[in-house]
Amino acid sequence: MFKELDPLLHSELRLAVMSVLISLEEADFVYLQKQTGASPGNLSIQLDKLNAAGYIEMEKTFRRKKPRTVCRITPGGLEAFRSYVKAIKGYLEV
Amino acid sequence: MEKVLNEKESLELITRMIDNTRKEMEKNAARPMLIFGYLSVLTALAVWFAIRQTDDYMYNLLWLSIPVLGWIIYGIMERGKTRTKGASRSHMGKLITRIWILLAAAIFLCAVAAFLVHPFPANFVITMLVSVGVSTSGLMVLYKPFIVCGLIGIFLSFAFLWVDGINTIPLIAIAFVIIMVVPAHILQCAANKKLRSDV
Repeated sequence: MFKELDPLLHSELRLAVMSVLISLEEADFVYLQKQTGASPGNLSIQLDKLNAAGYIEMEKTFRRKKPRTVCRITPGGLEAFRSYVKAIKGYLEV
Repeated sequence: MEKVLNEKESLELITRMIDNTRKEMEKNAARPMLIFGYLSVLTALAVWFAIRQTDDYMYNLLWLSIPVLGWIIYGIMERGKTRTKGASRSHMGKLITRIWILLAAAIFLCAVAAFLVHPFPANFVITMLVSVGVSTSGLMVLYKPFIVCGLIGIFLSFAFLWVDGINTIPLIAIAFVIIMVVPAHILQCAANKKLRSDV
């Protein structure tokens, strides 16, 4: 029986964000935008979804008077990502 | 609109993003070593030249400009990068930074001690500390040129226990080329090569 894929991660931009954050301790909004090639609006929506699910945490700060959003993967997000990778590997081994 | 991927595309996307993030980290990893390495070499030569010309050992105070100038130059370069490409921090990068902050504090204390205590084997201790830092960084990321050049530096540092006087200063410059400048350039070349091969 195949394990069901996490619908939250089974989307291009959210998966790209999680894949970037998995290798880092933290990354800011501009970095994630450059790495994923997403528009600011779309990225903002997808980050909010990941944050609401508890997969990432977002810290809104100011740097040189400009707003800055820093994102980090949470232990729950790490576990969800691991399960997702395990599940897709299971699909592909068939 | 959200694009939903199939399983193969998902795995390819994960691999690509992790790979790109790693390359982005490698691209700028050599920068601090290059800045502090070249700054140390130039300061050593400047101190040597000034003392030879004037016989005034107070020019040794120029050594203290290395951390000040280094952090200013690094800060300006990082600021420009953060503005255009954003900022990120890896777990390993954070750990290596903490080790270097600790070593920098120890080196600063040694430099101060060298002015107050005579004789104090400052050249030996400082070269040893920097070499240990380079080797430790190399061991943490399993990067051979850092490990090897750091180890060479550890052996070289013992030479400063026997060599003394103003002519040790050019030897310090040579030691810093071996310990910092050479491995940093090797890392930079490897990162550039990897980036070029992807284009």
